[in-house]
Amino acid sequence: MDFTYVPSTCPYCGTGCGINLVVKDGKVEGISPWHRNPVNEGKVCIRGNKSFEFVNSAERITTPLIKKDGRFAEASWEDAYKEIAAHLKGAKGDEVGFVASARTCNEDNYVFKNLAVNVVKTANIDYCGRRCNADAVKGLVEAFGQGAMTNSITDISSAKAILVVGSNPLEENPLAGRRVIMAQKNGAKVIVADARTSATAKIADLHIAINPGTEVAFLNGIAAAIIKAGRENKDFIAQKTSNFEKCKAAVAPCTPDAVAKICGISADAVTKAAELFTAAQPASIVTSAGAGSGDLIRACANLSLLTGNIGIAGAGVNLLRGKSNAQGAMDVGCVPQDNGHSVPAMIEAAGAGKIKTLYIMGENIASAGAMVVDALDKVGFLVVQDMFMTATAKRAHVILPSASFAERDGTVTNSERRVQRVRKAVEPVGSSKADWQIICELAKAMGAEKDFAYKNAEEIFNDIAKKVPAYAGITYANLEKPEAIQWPASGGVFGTAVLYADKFATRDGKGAFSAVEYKAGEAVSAEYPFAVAAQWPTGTLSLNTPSIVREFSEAKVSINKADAKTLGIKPGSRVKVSGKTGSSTLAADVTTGIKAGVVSLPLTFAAAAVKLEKTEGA
Amino acid sequence: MTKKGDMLYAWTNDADIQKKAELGGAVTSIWKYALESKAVDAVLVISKGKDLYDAKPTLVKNAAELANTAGSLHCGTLLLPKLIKKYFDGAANMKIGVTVKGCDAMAFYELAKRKQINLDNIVMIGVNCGGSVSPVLARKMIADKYGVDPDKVHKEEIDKGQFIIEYEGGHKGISVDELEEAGYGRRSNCRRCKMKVPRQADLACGNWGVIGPRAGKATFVEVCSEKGANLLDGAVKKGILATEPANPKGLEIRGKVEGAMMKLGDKWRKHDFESLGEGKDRLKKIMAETSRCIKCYSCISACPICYCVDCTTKNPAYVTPGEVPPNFMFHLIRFAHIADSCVNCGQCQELCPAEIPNAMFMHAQQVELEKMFGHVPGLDMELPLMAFVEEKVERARLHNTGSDMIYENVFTPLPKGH
Ligand SMILES: Cc1cc2nc3c(=O)[nH]c(=O)nc-3n(C[C@H](O)[C@H](O)[C@H](O)COP(=O)(O)OP(=O)(O)OC[C@H]3O[C@@H](n4cnc5c(N)ncnc54)[C@H](O)[C@@H]3O)c2cc1C
Ligand code: SF4
Ligand code: SF4
Ligand code: SF4
Ligand code: SF4
Repeated sequence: MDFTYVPSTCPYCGTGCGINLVVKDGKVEGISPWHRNPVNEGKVCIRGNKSFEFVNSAERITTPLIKKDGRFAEASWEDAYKEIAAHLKGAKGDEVGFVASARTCNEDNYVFKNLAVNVVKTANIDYCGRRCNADAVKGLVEAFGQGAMTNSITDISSAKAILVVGSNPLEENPLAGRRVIMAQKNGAKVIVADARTSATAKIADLHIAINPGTEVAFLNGIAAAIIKAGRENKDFIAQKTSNFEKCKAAVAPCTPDAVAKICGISADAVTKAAELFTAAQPASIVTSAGAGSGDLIRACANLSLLTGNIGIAGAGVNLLRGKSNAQGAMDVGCVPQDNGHSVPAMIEAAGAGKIKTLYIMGENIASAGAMVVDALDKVGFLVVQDMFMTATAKRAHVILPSASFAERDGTVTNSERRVQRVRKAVEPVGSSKADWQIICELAKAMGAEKDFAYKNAEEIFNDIAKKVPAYAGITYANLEKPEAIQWPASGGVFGTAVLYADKFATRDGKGAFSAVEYKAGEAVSAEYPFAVAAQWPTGTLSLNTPSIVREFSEAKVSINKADAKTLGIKPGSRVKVSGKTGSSTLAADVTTGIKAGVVSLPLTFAAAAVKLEKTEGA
Repeated sequence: MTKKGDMLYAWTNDADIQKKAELGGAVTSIWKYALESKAVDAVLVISKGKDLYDAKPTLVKNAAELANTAGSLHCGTLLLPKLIKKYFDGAANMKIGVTVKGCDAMAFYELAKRKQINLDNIVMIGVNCGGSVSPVLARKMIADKYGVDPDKVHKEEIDKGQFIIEYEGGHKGISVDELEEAGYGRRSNCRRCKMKVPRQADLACGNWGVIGPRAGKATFVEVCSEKGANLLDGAVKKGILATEPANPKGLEIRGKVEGAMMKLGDKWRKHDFESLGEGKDRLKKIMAETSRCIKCYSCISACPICYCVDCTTKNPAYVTPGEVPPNFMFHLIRFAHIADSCVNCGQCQELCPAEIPNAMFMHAQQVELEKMFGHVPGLDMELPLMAFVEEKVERARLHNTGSDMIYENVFTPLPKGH
């Protein structure tokens, strides 16, 4: 009997917890704590704890599949490559789209981008999830210079005040949430702004139930209150920042009363939050990227600059990522090239018949709703590279089976810029292959073997280190230590834990304030009277992990108790939720843990306002 | 002929083992003999992973690979018996030798009582244990309190009340008391632990009591079972190991140190349990802390008392699926099922992402129950207060009654055939 532990990185969220894969006789039989990993010290959430289950799922795709007469037939790799190469070769670059993945490794995304840009010659490359992240990252770049979390997950625990806005780390990034708990145990005050009484809101010292979509108004209100009380960090502003006056003018109208009205809270709450946030240094802001979160990030950045909470441990703007490699996919260049389409634009173009060939790696974009599904159905030739028969894969013409994270080598980059290894622990199921390998072999079939002659993932990584400045100086050898490296590597043995300790990475080296105005989103109306607080996609990995399915067997819409009563909705009632772009029927979760007039639900169609109807027979 | 109760100094004759061994290399040498003589099919021990702070369970079948597993890793906070249950069918079909700390030994007995491990197929060599330190905290402690780069350290040990490091350029010791005062040092369960010499193993090995010319070069071995005596004799006969009777003065010193450690354990128990308050206050405190739970199930996965195929905390009648934090019932179920048998191994606390002092809560209750009923878990095969049921049999019984509600069925007799 063979029994080994193989250290790896959790494939779920952007926290990037270290785990040990327990391998017995060539099979991953479980997950064991990896105490030595500095991110999570052996602790994991339920997803990490069960992340071996999907590896062994009977639902894994094990051979290439080619659709003939509407049905998938097993095919050889050779035939699958031939089929794809034939289509791609004749295709016009601007009629092809490539969707990379925030879940697969840096190596995969890097060669994927090269295939798109250098071989197929299209500018239409993007990674899924960037939909949300792009805006946020842009905000960070403008304010500070780098498009990433300014600080480290670990150092959140040394904060003395924490403002959580647009994020629910205890449930979404639990091992980052742990750091909030640790800080609080050390005396930090935790402020949470959320319409839901989320798990994070429950531990808050101050929970402020702001209306969904009013985060910017709330943050501006705090900034205004700080300035009014004269508690801004004048030295820091003078020495290290630019554009303060612009920001000051922009937030001036955001008085506590004005903000209270927009956010549906008391004026007192705004001043209280400002007081707590400035009561002690360092103060940290924890947030996540939602759709259109650029302004949210800019408003967060303003607050950090205003109080001098940047460039020191325990401070900063800490953007937590939902998917394991959202940071890396962007770092290695899976973003639209000159005038290329983003994912939403590709979908729109596909719907309009302008994109005829789409190549999707490791993402189930069909889960985002009927509009996407319609567009996929219109695509003339769809290639999907995945582990599972997702709704997206079902629509493909050719499916290429990917190996799981436990079956291949590679690296992923977590929210805090830490580049960590995944390691091959077992052989891939069936004839599935590592994503990078599939892409290199396809490139070969297209006659481009010269630039894709990689023998292993490490060779690709060495290329990344040469081409991507942030990755300079990183090698597989120096990722062997459990600390691995937080880019940029130049900051020390383990890279850089806190960005901007000396100066900002902006052109003038200064942190840039910006004037951010609150823009009201799609307002609730008589037709759609409920505001949507949060929507989350249903993940392919989770759906194939029985222990998680058991916890969340049914998709639910959370409704305030009073609202439910008015509508005659009882716990478990079937409720039709509809918005402008779609509708779905879900079970009701009736709760006091959400503000009246607000709902939260899984992402089956994107909406900011919805109506609810109890369906027949419920 | 060695016999149960003997106290010996032992040292290896194997040059490779000697190089790596903590002291006399007795533990590793006996494993070598056990493998070579086929007394065991494999040994499960702790070895160095990525560095000296990274303890990794390692299965060894080839005696030649054993030398690499010698030496003590004080950052090794793992619990091996649960791995044997999970991944080795509870040693149902193979004989396994395991190096155990006190908590490992106790966990073995508790799992065996619940028929999750076949102790007949387990050989345990115990190591005395003054405590272990969580690895990431240890590194921080070395950087902050010692002013030394943790990656420059090549050896760490706990000796004479000090945590000592050897590094490029010297060695340095700081008293464990001082470190713990500053929030570093041993895990909180280790501070309360009183299983310093694991006599329920087949042999109990350590450094306490080795004095005179052999100090630092021999392992102190207390022979705790006939199985242990035979192994030791076999290893000596094969020339792998040499022994001599322990120096009586050394024996006395060892007793004194053990006594002092027990007192220290009592001191920490008092400190920790008093901090919990009493009665309603204690309940309030427990409820407040557990209200952060994110229901990761790590405590249950790791606890050596939890073994159910289908955990009651997953029954929707008690705990709503998907709800975070879960209601208090989640924790009450654990308290009800575990408290009489908790061995204070600390796993449920060290692995809790919500920073809930679970082990402290459970241990506090265990100690109260022990006072009331006199049952001491982890020592032997004596059954706990609420004698266990066999999961499968019990489930089948419930199933056959047509309802899975235990309270409706508790008085229904077992169906025939059981
Ligand atoms: C955490 C810890 C604390 C200790 N504290 C004391 C003490 O206070 N007083 C005392 O007299 N002795 C203590 N010991 C025991 C002592 O350090 C030696 O292990 C023992 O004397 C045997 O020496 P040896 O040369 O024969 O062992 P070796 O031949 O070197 O073999 C050591 C064995 O211990 C195993 N091991 C190493 N680390 C761990 C771990 N973390 N958990 C489980 N097994 C492990 C190895 O896999 C190996 O099988 C402690 C050991 C450990 C692991
Ligand atoms: S917090 Fe994120 S990375 Fe960590 S175990 Fe959970 S899902 Fe995985
Ligand atoms: S609980 Fe006891 S036996 Fe276990 S590691 Fe801690 S001190 Fe050692
Ligand atoms: S309750 Fe905790 S401390 Fe007690 S035996 Fe279980 S895991 Fe160990
Ligand atoms: S380990 Fe902690 S967070 Fe996880 S289920 Fe147990 S008590 Fe809850």
